[in-house]
Amino acid sequence: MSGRSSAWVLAVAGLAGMCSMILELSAVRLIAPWFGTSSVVWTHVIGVVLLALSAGYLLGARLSRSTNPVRALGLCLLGAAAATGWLPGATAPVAGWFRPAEVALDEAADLLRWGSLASAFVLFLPPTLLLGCIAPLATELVQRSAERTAGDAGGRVLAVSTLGSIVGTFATTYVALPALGLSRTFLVASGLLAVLGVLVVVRGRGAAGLGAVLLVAASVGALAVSRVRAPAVAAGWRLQDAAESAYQSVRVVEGADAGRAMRRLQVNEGFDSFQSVWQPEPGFLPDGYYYNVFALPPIWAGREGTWRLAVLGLGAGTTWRVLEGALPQGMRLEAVGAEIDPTVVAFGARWFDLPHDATHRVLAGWDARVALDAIPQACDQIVLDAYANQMEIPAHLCTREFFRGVRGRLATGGWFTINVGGFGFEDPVVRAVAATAADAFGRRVLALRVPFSRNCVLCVRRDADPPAPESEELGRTFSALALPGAARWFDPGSTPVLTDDHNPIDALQRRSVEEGRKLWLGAP
Amino acid sequence: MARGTVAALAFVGLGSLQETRWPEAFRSADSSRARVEALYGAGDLPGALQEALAGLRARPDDPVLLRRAGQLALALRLPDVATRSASALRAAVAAMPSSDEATRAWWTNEATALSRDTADLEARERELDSDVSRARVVSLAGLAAVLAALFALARGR
Repeated sequence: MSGRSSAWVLAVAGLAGMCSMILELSAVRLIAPWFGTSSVVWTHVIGVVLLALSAGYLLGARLSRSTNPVRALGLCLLGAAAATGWLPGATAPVAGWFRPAEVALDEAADLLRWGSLASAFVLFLPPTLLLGCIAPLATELVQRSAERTAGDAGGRVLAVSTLGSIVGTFATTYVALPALGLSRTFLVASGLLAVLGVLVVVRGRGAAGLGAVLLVAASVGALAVSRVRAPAVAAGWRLQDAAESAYQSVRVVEGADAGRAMRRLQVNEGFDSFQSVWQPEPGFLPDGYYYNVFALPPIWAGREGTWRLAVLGLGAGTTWRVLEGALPQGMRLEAVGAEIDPTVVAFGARWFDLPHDATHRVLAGWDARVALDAIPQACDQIVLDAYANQMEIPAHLCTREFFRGVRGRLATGGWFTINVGGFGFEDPVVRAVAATAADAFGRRVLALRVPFSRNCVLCVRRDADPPAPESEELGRTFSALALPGAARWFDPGSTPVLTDDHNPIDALQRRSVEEGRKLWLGAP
Repeated sequence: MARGTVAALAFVGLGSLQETRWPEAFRSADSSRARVEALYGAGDLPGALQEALAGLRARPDDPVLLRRAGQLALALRLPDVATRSASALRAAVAAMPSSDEATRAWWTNEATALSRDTADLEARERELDSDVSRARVVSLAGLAAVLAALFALARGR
């Protein structure tokens, strides 16, 4: 081969690098319905991919010594194509083998850890191992074709492969997943690898061989039948809409709760959780929905006029809708809400009556921390309801610095209310977020246990204290909140305080899930 | 005790884990059942279970508390507590006087149902344990296989 002819090898290396990143970035999305997309799951997938690439590099090095490395390259591409193409169809049976249906969040700690790791090994090891073979084989071919040094050939292959990876990274997040969805993203990558593989095998001028034929057949079979199957919708509920956003899998289900028609917006649907809910009439939801507690500050305020509300983590607008129906007579809502996922906002408008008008401003695509600078000064209430990966409060949204910024946006006496999932007031996450809010505001935090749920709502005010636990005021709207044990203070000086510099919220959230049920028995 | 709290207690039952914070009428050991029902009605299932277990320490054979403790343990998926409660309820029912057959039959049915549901929960827990074990074996086997392959490939000429 001439120096000029090594260009095709570099092109193959670049496209394979692109497919590697498509696979790696989409891999977590593939298993998210079963295991979520927490940092644990990301760690496992990235760890397995790197391990597989490492083995692939060595295997590729071994294959590069063969008499026909071009044919070896073609077979690796075809193998990677087949293994990638079958991922959408194989995920449900593999992940379902490690995690049974309808496992509740508090049951899932060990399954999240080991199930996601095992699934990553079974599903993602084969394609990434084969893709790892590409770089050394390409390096060998470039070196032979152009009589370059090993370093020169390796540097060129790494450069184009990395450039391909960059293209794959951006294309996956911004184009492929939103436009094509998960199955077709994998199938496009698989198809591309298969075409490359066939071209390379043909170029190798060897006999096609039974192996190549079988791999091509496997790739074609995958293109025909391999599709993602999301976990089933719960009994009594039906699927209304679904989409892949740049952030997550999103779906709307409709059914009934406590005898009322209800819609729920679910993201990465694996667990028994939901991001937003809707009922035909605005106002309080049935027992067990924490949104109801967000309506207490305006009720306690007991005045007429405008209630300026900002919701960080708007979702499809459930908090707005509950407050719209629950505000005292003579009070009207002026609301702004930030939601990072524009697809969720679009679903909100389509299925959840999410308004967007002069008194309801939606900041779609805004991270809550960034949005803080865009919400009005002197809010009467700021609600933080931001969860990522189904069960994690994002670290940058639970620090002293962020909470101080929230305080700066509140009117004197204004309320900051936070939804926190946890197993009671001794839960490590509840304690840490409450202590941080108390520190940032320099005021007592009132923690309210939401009846019939595992959520707590934390309330803290700018330059004022919220009602005392067991006070008459607490029980005026929801009598259960006045019961001893339904509320408690967290005083300034409580620990741990989370900061931008040191925030172990991930570890606290893992501890919460692992130890939660022991806390229910009163054993810390 | 604030007036609102008393109203709440009247509405849903009762609540609290600290005896001194309860209204006078609910502080005796006999009021354990009422406190459990109050917390249950108010949606504090963990609190209701703790209250039931506290009541059972004083009256370990109380069938009402045993039944509720078992049901709460099932709802909270605490198989050990559910099993203990179901077993103790069966024993308590067996020791009931036979003078009122209808009452005894009702309690026997309740104990049987609780035992059955507890067995289902235990089976589910075993299934979960089995899933975790399977995942652990596959993960460790995968890791070992790749490391062995790495070693073999690195050594080969």
